[in-house]
Amino acid sequence: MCVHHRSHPVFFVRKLWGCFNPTAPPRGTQKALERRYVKGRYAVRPVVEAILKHPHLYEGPRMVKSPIVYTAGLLRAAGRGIDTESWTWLCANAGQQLFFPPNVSGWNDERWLDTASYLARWDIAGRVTRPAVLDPAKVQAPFDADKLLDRALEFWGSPHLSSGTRRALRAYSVRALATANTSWKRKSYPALIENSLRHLIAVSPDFQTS
Amino acid sequence: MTNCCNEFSRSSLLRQAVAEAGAGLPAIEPGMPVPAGTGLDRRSMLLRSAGVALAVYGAGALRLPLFEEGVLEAAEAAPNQPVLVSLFLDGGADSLSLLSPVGDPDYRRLRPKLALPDSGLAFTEDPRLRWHPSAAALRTLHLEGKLTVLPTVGYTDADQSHFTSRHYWEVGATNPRLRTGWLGRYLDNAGRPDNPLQGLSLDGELAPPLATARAPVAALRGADQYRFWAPGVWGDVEREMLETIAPLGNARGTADKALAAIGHASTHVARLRSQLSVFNGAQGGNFGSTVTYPTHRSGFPQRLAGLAAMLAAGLPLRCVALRAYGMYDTHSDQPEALSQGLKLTSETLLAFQRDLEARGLADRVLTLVWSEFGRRVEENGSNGTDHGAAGAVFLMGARVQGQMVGELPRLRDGLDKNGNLKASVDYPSVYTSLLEQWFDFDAADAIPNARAYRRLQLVK
Repeated sequence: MCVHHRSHPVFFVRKLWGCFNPTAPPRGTQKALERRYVKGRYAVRPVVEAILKHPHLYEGPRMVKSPIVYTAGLLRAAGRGIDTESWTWLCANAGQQLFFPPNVSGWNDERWLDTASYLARWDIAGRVTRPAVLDPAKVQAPFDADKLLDRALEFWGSPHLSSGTRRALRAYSVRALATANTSWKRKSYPALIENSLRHLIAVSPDFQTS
Repeated sequence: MTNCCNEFSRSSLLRQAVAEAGAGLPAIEPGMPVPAGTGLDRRSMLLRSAGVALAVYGAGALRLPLFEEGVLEAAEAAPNQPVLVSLFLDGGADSLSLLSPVGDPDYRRLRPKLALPDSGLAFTEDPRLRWHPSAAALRTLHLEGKLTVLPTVGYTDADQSHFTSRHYWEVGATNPRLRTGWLGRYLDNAGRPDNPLQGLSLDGELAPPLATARAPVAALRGADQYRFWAPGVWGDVEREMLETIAPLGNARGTADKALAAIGHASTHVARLRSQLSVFNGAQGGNFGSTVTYPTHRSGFPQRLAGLAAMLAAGLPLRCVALRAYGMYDTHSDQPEALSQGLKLTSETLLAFQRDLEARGLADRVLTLVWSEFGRRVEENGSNGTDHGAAGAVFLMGARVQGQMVGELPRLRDGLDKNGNLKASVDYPSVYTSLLEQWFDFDAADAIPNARAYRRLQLVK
């Protein structure tokens, strides 16, 4: 009864499109997606494929990832699967408990971030990186800001970072290395900095938005 | 709790269970009262403006984010409102040890083993009495006129059950069916519908004296919960890393709505971290105080240090409740059991008062120290004392009268038919007097049958 309502294809396409794009689809795109949905006997997959291939997804405005999408993305980039149930409460702390939206209209995708949910995302990033944390007693990381940043990026599969984010991370790396004012610090701090860069990359604007 | 009675252990555990489950209690004795506030709905929130994690009770239909605005408005509306701190000595403290009547010949007769020697710490208002050696800090406060001593406070036909007597004190009436606390009823009438900080328990669970029927109150889950931790990062590197949150969040500018949201959140995170550094031990664990508190694994001194910091930060607190360190149900091995708790509690109270003075808050804060009953005058055969009737109450603050209220009777002929201390002051008299003199509030709206109780001059 629901799918045969005449407004259903419009609603469905807008909702699905909104999961990937922060602005409404162009009118022609909306109509094309509706047709694909109805002609495909209400199959979801073809519509998702079309949205994922649409230039708007890559060239349009960015959107803040939901906690679930953010967490899944980090796990995938780190080569980790769902090996613990902790992601449930971690995502809940970040404001998203699957199947329990705040109201019947679902999640408000414009309100994912505040000081509390930012802390929760920080914790998620830490939980993802923790199993691979570098021990400064066992790992000799290079005393070089650029190399440390590149190594940290490798942990996430060497994604492209915007120039602004890269500049901020490099500036941090330089500052942190400058605090190594004794021989033991010069030996151990690079590994700590590499750990911290992995974490900072994960909470950077590039990773928290898509 | 090796020195306490089974009923004390059970009641403590059951109260804890209530706090955790928010459910009713299994009865452990016929007619046992249900603690005030049992079953109140509890919701967790991070109060961002205060930077503290709270369990909020009685939120009703209000959405938790509305409390942010309520707290801010309350803070702005009454920045210098008086604050009452309720400090509970759990188990029934022995008032004849806190202030020993070494000058009373019957003291040694009734307590041949437990009678304390003359500590040399004279109580200036009654030549018979000496302060317990572990309560020297209280004596300091008393000599400065900042401590009012009420040596025998209680009620007629004292109930010697921990559970029942404590309940009576918590609700402000000898009524086992009352479900709201005496301070909770005050807040229901004089508080706000949107400021849970007005009634704050520092023990992590709802304090029954604060249980309300309508107004929201809260239990602090920790003033140091807003912490950023990264695995494998510490020291200078961690500090630099955390300083990077704001510049990194704003690294891509704010032209895009989503990027602006990241930048906005990052900036606020950095600001909040800075504001909360006073609570999270970043300043040596003393909450920014110039006063040195005792250090103890129980965290009791830190709770009062944190309270002083919260007041200094302008949080709109009105009634605060917490338990003192120590187990005062001293059926056996009383000398050692009492000394441990009393020393830390007394020294922490002195540090708290000094801290309030250093922060310019002393005129705003009054601390009420109480226990559910005193102990029997005659010692038992286990080097301890059993449940008694009247017990000591202390009021601490810069604006207390500083003069003894009531009296300690002669032990030969001043005891009740059961050999317990008679009350020279009814505890509801203390409550009605405080509500009127400290809060300028009509006690009849919070204490049943308030008119029947004698008013005491407690506040200057």
